[in-house]
Amino acid sequence: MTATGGLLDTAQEMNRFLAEVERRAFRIAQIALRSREDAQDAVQDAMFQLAKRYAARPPVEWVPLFYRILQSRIRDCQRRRKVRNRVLSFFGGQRGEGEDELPDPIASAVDPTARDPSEQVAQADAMEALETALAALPVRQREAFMLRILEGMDVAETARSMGCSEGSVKTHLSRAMHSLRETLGEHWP
Amino acid sequence: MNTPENDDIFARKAREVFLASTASLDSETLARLRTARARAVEAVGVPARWQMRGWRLPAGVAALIAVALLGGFLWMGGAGTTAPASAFSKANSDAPLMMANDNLDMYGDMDFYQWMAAQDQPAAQPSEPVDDSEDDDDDSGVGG
Repeated sequence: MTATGGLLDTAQEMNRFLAEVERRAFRIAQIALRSREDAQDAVQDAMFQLAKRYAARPPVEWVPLFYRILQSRIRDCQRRRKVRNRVLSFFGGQRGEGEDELPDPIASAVDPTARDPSEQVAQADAMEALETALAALPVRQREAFMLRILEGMDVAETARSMGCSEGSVKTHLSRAMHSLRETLGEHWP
Repeated sequence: MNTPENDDIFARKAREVFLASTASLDSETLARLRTARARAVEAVGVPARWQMRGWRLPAGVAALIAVALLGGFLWMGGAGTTAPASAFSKANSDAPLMMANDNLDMYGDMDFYQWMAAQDQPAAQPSEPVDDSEDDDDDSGVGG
């Protein structure tokens, strides 16, 4: 009875955690992979692995564990793409990263119920510019920026998620900020 | 200019824009995320159950094997203990023979040696070779 109750509590807590984090995780994966389908797959896998393997861990540890799994899935996907692109280029055809998917016109349409459509469009443009700039960064700098700034982790959590020291996180983040600000300019957004 | 204050402002703006983008995800993506979450939450209980099975199953099998081995050992105990003992005693009876310094070929001519021993017996005892010697003498006289 106690074990079942504990399991139920853990499941409920896991559900709350994943519901709270899933949208940001998806967007982070999408920014890194430039593909909605691949991002959905990566997040789905990270959710499942976290719940299956680490549900018994204290919930405080779930954030870095989840993002560590997600970053691993993102890197796996990027490696598979590289191999696929090499094979395709060997046989004459080549498709770039993220080109396997055109944006869904309905999905990308502006929500008419939004309070201020012009503001939403401006934010969408700003996000698009940020995504483009992030795509040009080295992988580790991009990871540090997305986890520390976009996801809002502290330095220690970011370091655990990236599997590196806190000093490395600070270095990667500093370089990322410098590059992004140079790319986006003073008037962004 | 990259000052800490400017970095903070830039970081705040970036996060604001990012969070706004998460609020406008398409319905298909949201449905997919909900489904993925539901599957993940279902998996929370799975490791615990399988972990229980994981140690209970081998432990049960190991106990069953141990009981079977013990039962088999006890059941076969009588024959198992006597057979080696009798085999050992049989082998043990040949041990002096094997360990002796004698020439083992001698045992192949055992009949001959028994006959030789019989020659050393007292003359009162009747024996074939005595008669044979007399015959030999007769034969030598005829021949002479």
